[in-house]
Amino acid sequence: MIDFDFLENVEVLQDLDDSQLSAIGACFNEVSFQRGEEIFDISKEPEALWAVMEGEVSLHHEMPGAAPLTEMTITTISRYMILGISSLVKPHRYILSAYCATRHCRLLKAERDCLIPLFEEDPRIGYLVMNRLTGVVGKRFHQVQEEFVKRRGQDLLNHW
Amino acid sequence: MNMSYSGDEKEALMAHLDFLKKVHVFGELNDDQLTAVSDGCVEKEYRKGDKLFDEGENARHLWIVVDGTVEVRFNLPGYDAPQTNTVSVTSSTQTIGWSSFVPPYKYSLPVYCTSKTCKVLKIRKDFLLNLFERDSKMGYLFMSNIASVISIMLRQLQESAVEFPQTRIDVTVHMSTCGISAGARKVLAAFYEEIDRAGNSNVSVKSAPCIGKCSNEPNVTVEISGEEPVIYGKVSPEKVKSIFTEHILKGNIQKEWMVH
Repeated sequence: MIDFDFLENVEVLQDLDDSQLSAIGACFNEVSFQRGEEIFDISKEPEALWAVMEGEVSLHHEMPGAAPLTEMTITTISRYMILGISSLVKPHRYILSAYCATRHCRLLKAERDCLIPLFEEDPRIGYLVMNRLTGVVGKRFHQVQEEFVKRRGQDLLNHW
Repeated sequence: MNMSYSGDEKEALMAHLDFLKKVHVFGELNDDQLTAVSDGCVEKEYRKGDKLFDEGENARHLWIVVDGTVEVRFNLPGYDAPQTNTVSVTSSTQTIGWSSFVPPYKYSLPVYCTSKTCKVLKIRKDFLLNLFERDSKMGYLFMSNIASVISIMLRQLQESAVEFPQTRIDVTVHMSTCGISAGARKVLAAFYEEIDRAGNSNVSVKSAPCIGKCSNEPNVTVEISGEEPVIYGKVSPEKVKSIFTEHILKGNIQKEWMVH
């Protein structure tokens, strides 16, 4: 049984009413990971959206075949925050890899194959969730952009 | 669909709809939904060098490029090198200003027209949100599309970051007996302090044997990736501050302390 007090605070579910939460809650199952365990990496097919219940998850920027220098932690995801956005966003390819960053991580997992049909059947739920999710992906973009600008700016200053 | 359009107006509307159908964020919207969007579009034209919006401005509009090229850039205080400061380039049917749908609803970087002229469509965010409140299916499709646009841009940005990897800077403090007796240990410690203070993860410091310039000890070599190494002589902890701030952070070689 999913805890609705938790669900209503998940960053992309905050605009949903009780009946909408009940509908989407049916898609979620609880899963656990240990420190350092991979939740997903960019080579995998994004199949699920995840919400952190307990612990912290780090999102890494890793480009296949690139030097280790280009690997960096973009952000850390904690309680009520989501990961696996690419499961709901075309072209459905992971951009960041996710690892459990604390001794124990407890997450809720919802399969894309459950969420997308629900959004199509009830577009109000789809709109409210995707509206919030756009804010999350935008925030991640700004975090990467800030890092990129910092690097490019430093490069320009170093070579002036 | 509004049936009271005149012949010319209907032709203009159809042209608008044909264009909007090609815009990624309106993909999968039907003709009625596109017509509703079209009612909120305002056409604007800019000339080369004009700024469409600035960093930090309240993001109240979504912008779609109709003709020409616009560039997202970042500013470095006191420097003006627009070509190297370009983060992304946007052309016809592409969308900018999605910050209007992302908290804190402020444009994060300035955008300039870089072709001879730029024609864009501006749509008020509030206008679109009102449409979505009345038509959730439209809102769902739009938000899915705009999240996809941001996601694609995020991937492109990451690929750019790989093309422009962070500069590596290697600092070598030469620490044979002659260097140590001249104060090389204090010099090494001073570099560590500067790195800690500046929080630079791309600067590495190591010790290495004498380079045969014993009369100028302590010697330090600074090597910035892609540039000739620079050897400094008679380096003191005070000189380390200047070398770090001027050469390592700003690229200004301290020629008066160089040894050849």
